[in-house]
Amino acid sequence: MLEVKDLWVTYKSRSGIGVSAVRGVDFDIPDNSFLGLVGESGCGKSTLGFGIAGLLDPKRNDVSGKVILDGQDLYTLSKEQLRTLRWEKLSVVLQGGMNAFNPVLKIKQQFIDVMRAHSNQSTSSMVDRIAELLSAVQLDPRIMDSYPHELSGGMKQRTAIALSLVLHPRLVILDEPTTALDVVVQRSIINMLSELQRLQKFSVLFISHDLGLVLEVANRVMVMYSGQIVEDKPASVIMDDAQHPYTKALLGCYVNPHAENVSLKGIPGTPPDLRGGVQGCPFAPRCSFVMDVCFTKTPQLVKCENGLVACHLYRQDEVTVE
Amino acid sequence: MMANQIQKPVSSTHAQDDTLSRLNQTDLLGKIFRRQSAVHTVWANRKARIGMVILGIFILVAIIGPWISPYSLNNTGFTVSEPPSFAHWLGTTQSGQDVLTQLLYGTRISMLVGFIAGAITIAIALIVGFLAGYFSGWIDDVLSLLMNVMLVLPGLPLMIVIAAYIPSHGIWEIILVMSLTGWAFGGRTLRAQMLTLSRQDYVVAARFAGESPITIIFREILPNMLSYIIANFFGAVTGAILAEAGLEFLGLGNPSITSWGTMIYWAQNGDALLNGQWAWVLAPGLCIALLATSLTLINFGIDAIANPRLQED
Amino acid sequence: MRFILRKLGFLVLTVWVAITLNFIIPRLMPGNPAEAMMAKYAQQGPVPPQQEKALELMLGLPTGSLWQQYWGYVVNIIHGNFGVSYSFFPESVLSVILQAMPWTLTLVGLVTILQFVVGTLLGVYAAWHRGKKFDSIATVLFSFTSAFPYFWIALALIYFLAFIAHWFPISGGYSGSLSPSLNLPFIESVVYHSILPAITIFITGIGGSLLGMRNNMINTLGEDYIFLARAEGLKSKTVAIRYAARNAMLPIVTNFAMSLGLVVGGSLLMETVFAYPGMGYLMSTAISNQDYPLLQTLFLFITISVLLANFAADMVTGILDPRVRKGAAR
Repeated sequence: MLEVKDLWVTYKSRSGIGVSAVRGVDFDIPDNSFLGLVGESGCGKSTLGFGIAGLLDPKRNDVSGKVILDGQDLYTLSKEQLRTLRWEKLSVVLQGGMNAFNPVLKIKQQFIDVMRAHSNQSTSSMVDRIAELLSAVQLDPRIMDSYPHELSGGMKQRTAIALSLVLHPRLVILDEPTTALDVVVQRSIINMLSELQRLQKFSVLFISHDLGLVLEVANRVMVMYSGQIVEDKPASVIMDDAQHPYTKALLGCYVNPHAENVSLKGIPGTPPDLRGGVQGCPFAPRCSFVMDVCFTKTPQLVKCENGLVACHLYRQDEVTVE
Repeated sequence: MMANQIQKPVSSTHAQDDTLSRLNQTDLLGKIFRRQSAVHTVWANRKARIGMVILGIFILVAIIGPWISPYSLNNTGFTVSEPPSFAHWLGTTQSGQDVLTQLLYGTRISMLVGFIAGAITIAIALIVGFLAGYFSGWIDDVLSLLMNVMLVLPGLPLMIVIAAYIPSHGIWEIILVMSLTGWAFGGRTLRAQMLTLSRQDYVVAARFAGESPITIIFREILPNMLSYIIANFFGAVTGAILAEAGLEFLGLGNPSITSWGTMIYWAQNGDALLNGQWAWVLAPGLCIALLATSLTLINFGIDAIANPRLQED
Repeated sequence: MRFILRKLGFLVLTVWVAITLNFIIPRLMPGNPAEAMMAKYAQQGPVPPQQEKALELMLGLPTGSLWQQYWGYVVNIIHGNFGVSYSFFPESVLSVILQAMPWTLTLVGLVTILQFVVGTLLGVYAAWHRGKKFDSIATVLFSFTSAFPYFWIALALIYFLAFIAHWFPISGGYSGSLSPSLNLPFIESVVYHSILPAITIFITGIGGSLLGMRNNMINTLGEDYIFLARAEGLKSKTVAIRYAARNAMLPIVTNFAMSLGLVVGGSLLMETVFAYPGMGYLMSTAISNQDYPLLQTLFLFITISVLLANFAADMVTGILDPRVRKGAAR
């Protein structure tokens, strides 16, 4: 349904040295799939998400590559074509805690604005649709007459999810939707979301820094590091068959081969500065399986037994032992 | 990890800060570099650059004005009420003085009055804003109410009433009246800024560490709101220059000094416009406007430091 | 409701402060202009005793305890008894001011609102097309025009459009050959005479409105809900007006109220230049004649007008912003 081909996103800067936040990403999102995108903050996962949605400001970003949605390349569409395609095929839910709603309009009005921008319907049928959606996200439909500031953080985020579904989109991109919410609220929203996805069969791109959370809801997981996808596997296998050292580290069961005891720990070091590009594998300086080749050659995302991985450890033919 | 959250954002969110913190420079060096980068941000803004150049010229004229003026200020021996000519580029006054000479001398007084009144205004605003923002509770309530009241009272009419009752109209009286009536606007913005900053993690940490309020204000808070203070200072100077001109124009100033405001006062009294002496009236007004514009333009650049959204692409 | 009461309370408080300042200022100042003033009145002719009392209270002639003076002063104000004017002797201060007030209120009021509306709309346009030609030119041009003193713009307009070009009258509120009445020639004359004063207020005021709205709008355009509105595929006109401008307006209305004091101050000077028969011209007459009772009462009337306008602006904010209306945090 959605195909991303060699997508690069470079933030323009006044000094002239751009920072590439997304560096040559390829993947696809089939129909009716729940795809998780995981990585630490600053790895480019949100940029990738907004890049797929065609929401990056061309004044600030250079985008190259293709994003093909139902056979159409988003980056070749006219402004008006892109406008009508938005939300009808592809909607987004922003981070919890952000001001996603216009503070001076009632919730109902904001739903109606979206529907009016894409179709001609009677007000009463629109109100019915809003009530239906709010019930679907387990909210009292009467809150449609509230202003955003009258809702709690959890209610706002449910409303945001309801709003994302209003035009029956093919793909919903959720960017850290439960960040800034407490754990109990987070849990119920995630469960509700996965239930809705199962029933309505839209596709989800779920962006999060929390691998554990993603593993619970997604059926496929992509791990991103420094603007690249380093591993892409079904959620059912990634737990036992994580291959990339970064994924392993993220899973928290990273094992130091020289240590006598196995211990849980964080990942030492910080991601590289992306200015001026990166030579070799971006994870190399933090990797405990690092080899000489890692500093010179960027590993490609290649097929492995259960999915895709980008690491020199799994390309025997290219590793030259010295 | 914890240490990271207690970083001090000296020049707010600004692209170059990231670089510097990553390069792990020593703290002092980092501070200097960041300061410079703040100046760079202002300078990088085209409007601010124009403003800084204009302001620079005015400061220069204020310093060397008396030396470059064609005649002596006390020379009243010229033909009276001359229109602009080669000998008198801006004409002569009703009492036979050279207008250009007056203008060059007046630059110094007008700028001095503006900048001193601006400085006193901002000092009052800072003290009140700091007290209100730092000590919340009833002190804040009272001071905020006072500021709001001062804000809605129309400034010029209030100045006029006070000035009309003052027995002597020297420069200092005028400066005092303008400062006492004009501090509320700066006070309000600085209070808001102070309130935000005093809730930052690093200030809270300093409080828990037992630092005295004075130390915290001067070391932790003041440097971080410098751009706001400067912007408000320039705003206050602009206000003071305009107010001084207004008071002088109404005859509530000291007509015996030579400033841009008194020049217009005398020109208006001498019916300069109706005698075709346009330069006598229009030149000092143009100077007031140019100086005020230059400060406004610089503030565009300073705003961009405090608020990255306003930075030019 | 609580919002309205709070604002009403503030209105009452500020009016009280203005009245009290007016009482205190003459009494704080060194020297005693009051006695000299009363002596000058005595030269002009007999002042009715009630008026004399009002003058003494206003000017701060020490009779009785301070509290008694204050009480008498407040009672006089409530009864509209401000004494007689020195410069327009023996007319009462109130009647002099009431003649001038409509001139200022209509001219300054109408043009200020017009200037605000046009400036704000242009500010929306500049911010939406940020960095384009109009924006770049407008921001520099209007920071320049808004820096001019009101009276200077007035002088320049008189020189070029009235003195040189003879397109407009040089001064006054209506032609000297007509007497004030509600007929067409008189109204035409009033409109004709008000054009230059109106342009003065318009030119100097519009810059502030435009720049304020532009900066606010740019800020608002960075908000998450604008990003989302674009993602929703709303038409750009909807995003610009209903989502961005609608929100950027809110602080602008408050700022407008705050800047009213400046506008009024500038208009006072403008009126002086044009000899326009409003409160500003009256004020400069009062200054040059040292007519303190008139000056002080003018201050009161001007201040109260500004305060009422402020209250109105607050009410508009209340209508526009549901958060303010319900007294939520802001």
